[in-house]
Amino acid sequence: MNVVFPRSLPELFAALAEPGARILAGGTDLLVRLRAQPEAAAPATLVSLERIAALHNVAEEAGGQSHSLDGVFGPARLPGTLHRVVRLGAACTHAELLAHPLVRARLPVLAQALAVLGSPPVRNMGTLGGNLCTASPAGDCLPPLLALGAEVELASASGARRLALADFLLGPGRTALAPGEALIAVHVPVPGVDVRQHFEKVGRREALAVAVVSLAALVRLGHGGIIAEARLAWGSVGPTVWRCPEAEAALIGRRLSLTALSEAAALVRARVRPIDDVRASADYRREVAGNLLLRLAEL
Amino acid sequence: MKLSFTLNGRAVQVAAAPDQRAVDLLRELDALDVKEGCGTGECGACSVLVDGVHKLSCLLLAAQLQGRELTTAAGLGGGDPHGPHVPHPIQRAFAEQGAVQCGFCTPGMTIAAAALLAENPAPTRLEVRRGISGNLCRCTGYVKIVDAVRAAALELADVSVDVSADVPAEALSAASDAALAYPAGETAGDASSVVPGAALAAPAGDAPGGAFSVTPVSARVRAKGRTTGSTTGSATGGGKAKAGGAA
Ligand SMILES: Cc1cc2nc3c(=O)[nH]c(=O)nc-3n(C[C@H](O)[C@H](O)[C@H](O)COP(=O)(O)OP(=O)(O)OC[C@H]3O[C@@H](n4cnc5c(N)ncnc54)[C@H](O)[C@@H]3O)c2cc1C
Ligand code: FES
Ligand code: FES
Repeated sequence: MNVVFPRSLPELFAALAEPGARILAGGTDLLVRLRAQPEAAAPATLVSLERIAALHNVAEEAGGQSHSLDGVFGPARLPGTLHRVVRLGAACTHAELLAHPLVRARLPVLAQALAVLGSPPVRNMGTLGGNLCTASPAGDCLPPLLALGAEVELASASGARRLALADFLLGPGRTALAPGEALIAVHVPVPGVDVRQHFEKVGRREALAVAVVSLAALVRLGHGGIIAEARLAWGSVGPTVWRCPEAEAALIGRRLSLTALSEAAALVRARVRPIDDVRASADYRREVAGNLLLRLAEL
Repeated sequence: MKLSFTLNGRAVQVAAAPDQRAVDLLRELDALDVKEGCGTGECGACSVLVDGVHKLSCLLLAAQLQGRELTTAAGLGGGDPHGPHVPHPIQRAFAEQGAVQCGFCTPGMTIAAAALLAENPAPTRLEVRRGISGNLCRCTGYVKIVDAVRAAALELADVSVDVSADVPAEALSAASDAALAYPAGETAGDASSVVPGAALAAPAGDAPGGAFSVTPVSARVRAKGRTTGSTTGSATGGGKAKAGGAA
């Protein structure tokens, strides 16, 4: 395999237009996978993102101005959201995002997930774009970003487009990326200060643990601590990140009490359809998927 | 392809296949302190610093080394590259604290420790455990490795310690480690896993401090005398080390 290092987006798109080209970001998924495959199946050229400055930025923008797709963006935003968006460059490493003041202050649910992703060297190498494009149901960035209503910015030689993250993730290992297209950035609407943010992952051990079950939760509290809206997204309990509208609806109008959460957890256990695998049984996952909700009582 | 990079301060020019793994190339270049354990990012034995950042050479390709500055464990210390090697304080602490058994994990562990201390000069035991959590050791059980990293932290912070006291590590950590008695304390001292969210859900504007902030050792521990280099001894009483900000 040849390895090329474009320095700008036009150079990147040109390189990706070549037959057999494949993006190399941190390599923590791709190089592990390529090594497990026969050499014949390898891409002809790996196109590294590491020298494209435009993909390494984090910035806060006014929410309105940068969006042409209001129809896509509007419904994803929690009512009460400030009209601000944090734009995360796709090639930012997990460690860079975790250290970034904007991520920590505005998007603690994402910071909490990044803090338990892999290990220090994996966080120093692995990128946000790689995590989303790998589209693993256990990918730790996926539940927080889905709960936050994030949008992805995709581009190729033939133009750019925006998609809701939910429409980008099609299944395990499958995304809406077209051939020659790259994920450029992730746009995350900033939740208001009345929104509690929470992430928890249950794995087999503390570090380097693929999620057995994870939960990202955003809960907006109105007057008197009454829940006005809840967004819940579970990892590792289905082929993609799983949402439970019934549990979200059941929390509205309640307080973050153990009673209300236990009732919602029962709805979760009744509806979730996890699988058995080497890491855990379906029964265990179903139980824990509900239990993780109870933690919200501590928020 | 022709590659040029710096390896432990030495300029290297070498021809290599662009997709050769860095771990293989480095070992061909006689950097035998870079080990391959798993080849899949799980064990950390192949750890190197790339421009000062802890990375895994089994998941790096030769082409990615172009123009970079690489440090392996052998490059952590000082001395003439062709003469006697002067071990880094971390390496000395590993030897003195008994943190090395078979030694296979040691180069990677010391790289992880160096990266940790560069970012956090006064880690608690839990922070050390997190810092080395990408590095596996099959022999030691980690306790002495954590001791060694903390001993090195004290030495690097240039803390003077009363010899008779011999308690700098304990003093430094007394408060923060009270909750860390293994195993239950492993999570008890970890705000972000006990009440997930509490640690990170700081109000806007409070970002870079909060649960992650550390006071440098030098600001926290001051005592008289000279550095002993040994911090595993139990508190012998009369300790003069002060740990003002450790809580
Ligand atoms: C030891 C170890 C532990 C791990 N632990 C975790 C964990 O706890 N949680 C977790 O979620 N993941 C974990 N991972 C998986 C992996 O580290 C992450 O998914 C990481 O975010 C992948 O990013 P990367 O930059 O390394 O992707 P790469 O491996 O470089 O790329 C992955 C795929 O995405 C494509 N791609 C990458 N960037 C783009 C882009 N911008 N546009 C289009 N396509 C792109 C690549 O072509 C490739 O197909 C672990 C991996 C290892 C080796
Ligand atoms: S050999 Fe690289 S992490 Fe194990
Ligand atoms: S000393 Fe043997 S693996 Fe750590």
